[in-house]
Amino acid sequence: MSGAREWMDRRFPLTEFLERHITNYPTPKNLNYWWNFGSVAGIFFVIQVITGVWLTMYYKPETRLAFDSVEHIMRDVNYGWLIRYLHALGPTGFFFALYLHMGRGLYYGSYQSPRELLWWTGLIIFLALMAEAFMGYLLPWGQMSYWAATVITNLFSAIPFFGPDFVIWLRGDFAVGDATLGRFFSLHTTLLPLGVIGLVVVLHLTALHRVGSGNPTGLELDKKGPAVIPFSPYFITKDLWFISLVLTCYLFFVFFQPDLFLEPLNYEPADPFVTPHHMVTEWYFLPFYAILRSIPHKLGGVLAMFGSILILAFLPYLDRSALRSARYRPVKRVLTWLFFLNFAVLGYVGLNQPFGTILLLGRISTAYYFLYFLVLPLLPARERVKPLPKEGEL
Amino acid sequence: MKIFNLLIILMLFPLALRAADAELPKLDLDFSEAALKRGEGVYKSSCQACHSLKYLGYQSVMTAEAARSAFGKAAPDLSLMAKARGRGRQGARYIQALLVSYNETPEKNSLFPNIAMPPVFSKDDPESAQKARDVAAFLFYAAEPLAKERRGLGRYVLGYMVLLTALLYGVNRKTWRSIKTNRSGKNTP
Repeated sequence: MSGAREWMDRRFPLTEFLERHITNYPTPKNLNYWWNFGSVAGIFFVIQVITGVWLTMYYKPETRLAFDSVEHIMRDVNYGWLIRYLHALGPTGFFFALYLHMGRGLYYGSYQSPRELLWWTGLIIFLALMAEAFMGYLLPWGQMSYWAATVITNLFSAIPFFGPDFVIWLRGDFAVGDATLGRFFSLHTTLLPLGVIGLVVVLHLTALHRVGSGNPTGLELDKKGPAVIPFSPYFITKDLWFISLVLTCYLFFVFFQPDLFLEPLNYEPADPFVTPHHMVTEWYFLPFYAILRSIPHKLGGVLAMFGSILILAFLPYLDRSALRSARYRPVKRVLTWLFFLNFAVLGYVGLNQPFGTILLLGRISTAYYFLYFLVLPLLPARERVKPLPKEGEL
Repeated sequence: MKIFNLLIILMLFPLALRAADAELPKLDLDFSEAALKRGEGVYKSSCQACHSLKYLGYQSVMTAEAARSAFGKAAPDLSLMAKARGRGRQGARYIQALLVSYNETPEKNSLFPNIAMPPVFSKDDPESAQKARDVAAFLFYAAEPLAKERRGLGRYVLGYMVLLTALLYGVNRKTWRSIKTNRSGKNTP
């Protein structure tokens, strides 16, 4: 065995890699469970890739066959229903983990120097995952698939001058059709998951292992100091049991309540002549959908929606506080909790038709969403911070 | 862990609201084997004339063209109707409620006034309520024939996962026993 290891190490840095990134990777011992959602998101990515490969074996990316091929998977393929439900509910787990992971970054100031690249690569993963989920949603070729793709691609027609031509270019046709399905299938199964998400996840982890994990105190810990322990075995067992807990919840929904996360209308085949009465997105897009519909101007709404994600990229420059963690910043702490609550309210608004009180609520919540980022730069000068603990006391 | 729970509840909040949106009369459903068998018979005698059930291999008697000229639109395939009309059992309840809501005046449905479908059961039929219940159960089955297998396997998978999680939790407790942490970072250990 050690002979094989030596043979390998002379040709490839296997032992060095394992020691550096797993067995001896220095990790702060005071990480709380909010630090577990990165690996949870990673597991969901793996589940999506594996189940996706199997679905691709039976799915037919053609408008006349797509809907039937999904039902063929559900009814005739051995355990096809399991693979398909795992894949259809995977995004719920993935986005759930990702939102908590990003919320942790926001609360504990994880985006601050020297972790800007870590934050930005994370945002690229988030954006690519949104595109991935959106394109995958067209594939079952149900009513909501068709109309969601129609409405969302149509948003780009708001771009001045070349907007309408751009929409035709995106769809590959004047309306969402076979050409659209083919390109969405291609991008959903090849370039986006492997070329973008997979690649950027590697960059994200590489950047993480250069700067090291942050921690709830926001202190930059000495990698050889008393507050740091090796990744193995402590964080392997911590990750494993927590992933197992999250997967138990996920599998409960897969086996007993899959319909809870699947839009009923999508069990009707796409019909370009029948518009659904009530357009609603998957839950993980609801807050952004609410921002889009809160602005009474098409281009304005589109800009606000994309801006609400883009503004996250400026966080390292908007938050100039010498302290990272909201735990020691009473004002940021309250504002950030309100930001999370506000995000949930936006989700509720996105679920309902934008009229009357709901519309007003949506506008107030949209305003608070952006206001948060405008207030952050003003805080350091006024906020009275709490004393930080010493590294040896952790 | 307290804030943890709070956030999870907040994230599930929109889902809980969504589940409660449909307003249908509370009718009792029966998903027994016998009910499914009777429901299949009801489908063949009362629905198949116009509606196909293609994923179960049933063709409709009437062509789509004939249905269009008689009722103004083609009768939809019923294979997935129970899933398309509501989450979980809600879809079956929808079908049952629709079938029992035809009034004395012919062609009028109190729940769905604009429906193209004429009354399915004769108003003199004493078994019409039972038939509606049975066919709703049968269409619920038809929408996902392997649902029973899914729940059956799910019991074993969930049981296994609970044991595995408990075991891994124990392993984690054991590895961390030697490490003293003070997570609040406020006091010395």
